Amino acid sequence: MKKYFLFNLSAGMEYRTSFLIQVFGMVLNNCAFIIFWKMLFDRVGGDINGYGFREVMFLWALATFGFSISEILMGNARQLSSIIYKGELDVYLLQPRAVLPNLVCSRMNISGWGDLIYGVALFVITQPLTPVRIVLFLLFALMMALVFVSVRVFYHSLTFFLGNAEQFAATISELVIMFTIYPGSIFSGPSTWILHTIIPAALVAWIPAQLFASFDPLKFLMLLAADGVIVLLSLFMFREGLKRYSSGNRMGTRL
Amino acid sequence: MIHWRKYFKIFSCTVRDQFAYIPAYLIGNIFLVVVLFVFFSLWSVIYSGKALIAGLSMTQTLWYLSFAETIELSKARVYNQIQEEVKEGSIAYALGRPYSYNGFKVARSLGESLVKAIPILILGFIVCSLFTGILPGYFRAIPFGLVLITGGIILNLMWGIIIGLLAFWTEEVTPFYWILQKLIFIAGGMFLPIDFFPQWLQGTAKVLPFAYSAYWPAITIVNFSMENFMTALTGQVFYITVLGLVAYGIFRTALKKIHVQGG
Repeated sequence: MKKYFLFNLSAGMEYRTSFLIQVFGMVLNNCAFIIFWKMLFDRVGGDINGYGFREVMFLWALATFGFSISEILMGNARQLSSIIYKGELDVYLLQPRAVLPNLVCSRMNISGWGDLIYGVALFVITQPLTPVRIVLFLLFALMMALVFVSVRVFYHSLTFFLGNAEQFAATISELVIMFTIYPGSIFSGPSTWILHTIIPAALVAWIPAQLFASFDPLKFLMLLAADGVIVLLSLFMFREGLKRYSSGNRMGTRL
Repeated sequence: MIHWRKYFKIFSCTVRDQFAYIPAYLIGNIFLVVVLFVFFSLWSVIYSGKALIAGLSMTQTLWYLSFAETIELSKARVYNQIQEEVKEGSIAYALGRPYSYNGFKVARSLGESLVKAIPILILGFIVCSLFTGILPGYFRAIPFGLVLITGGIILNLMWGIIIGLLAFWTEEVTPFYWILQKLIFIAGGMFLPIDFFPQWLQGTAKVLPFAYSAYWPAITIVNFSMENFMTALTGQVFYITVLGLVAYGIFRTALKKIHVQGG
């Protein structure tokens, strides 16, 4: 992963102006949402089902920072369907490395750096800073990145079974991100089950936000276990899918 | 003299092309249903115990957001196409053809966007009706609303062409698109009707071009009056003309940067 990180970073920095435009474009892009929430809370007055401006900003900081880690370190996960249906997986299968880590880590999405800067800055500006809270934030961001990549791997692996599942997987991934940046308490009824399982926004953001406000060791262990289940399910899905993969006749090399 | 028939032909060919992709496109519209569900959940909490906020009811606010989303989600990614053509150099082939490059892009992308907009409007109608009931005055306002939604789409196309042509100067134009998109989301009132803004900001936001991409078409449908319609239409025509001229100017300047080698 370290080698991929350094290689991908140097490749991104090759076009320095483009790199900087993408990074700062993403920071500005995200800043727009602070304005939206500030105006909304000013108009509403008070909180929205227990979430104030600061709590929503925590969701934003966590979502963007966690997402940035997945985009920077494991940015190829979003290409998985395309790689499978084009028969490009052969290239990874032939290399003397574990297939899935090799595959997901082999690309860095440069705009992820903008999300990283934004997420960290937003956390520092809007949240009370104590060593424990900083550690929790970093830990939750790592857990979010891992679960988010697992969700992508799980849904993109459907391509092994159903043909091209690219659009479906991309939609689910977008929905995970979209739900994480809204207060979890606005949803009720059957939708909350979906948001704890099929689209696990609760696991990546809302429960960490509760733990950040008031840490509960038992709840934290339950969260770890639930995240572990998602990671294992995605590994299982990919492994089973790989058994059904039939090679393409496309020639390719990775240097 | 502008030969409108050839641009209409490009438009109608794209409309036919796009109908071939309707089934795949409908699956993509799951996103709209979820967006409306999120907005409905959020605004239900905000409106609990209140009939009106900023002069709008819960029903009007949700329908407003569905119309604003229609314009956003039906957008053709014209900036992306132009960026790729500039990067690959294939724009050189388009220059020899008997049409205006910008005119071709408008005709083609408008055809694509209008075909996308129809299912979104139908889906938005069904979902919003289920959540809040039918918008009062919907059937009277919608014919005028369709004109303004088309105007909003054309305005976005003009921005898309301008941003795409910037690829002549910068390799990557996507971040410019993000920034424009967020200006329309926030200053244009796509996420939050401008009536919810602080009083001091409302006047300025309502005259900016971004408002004519989202706010004016959506608010005119949910709060219909001929006065609102004329304000919205006049603003759209004005800004489409201005941005069209800017796009033309940028294209003429960019042409000087093209060097064609070989054949």
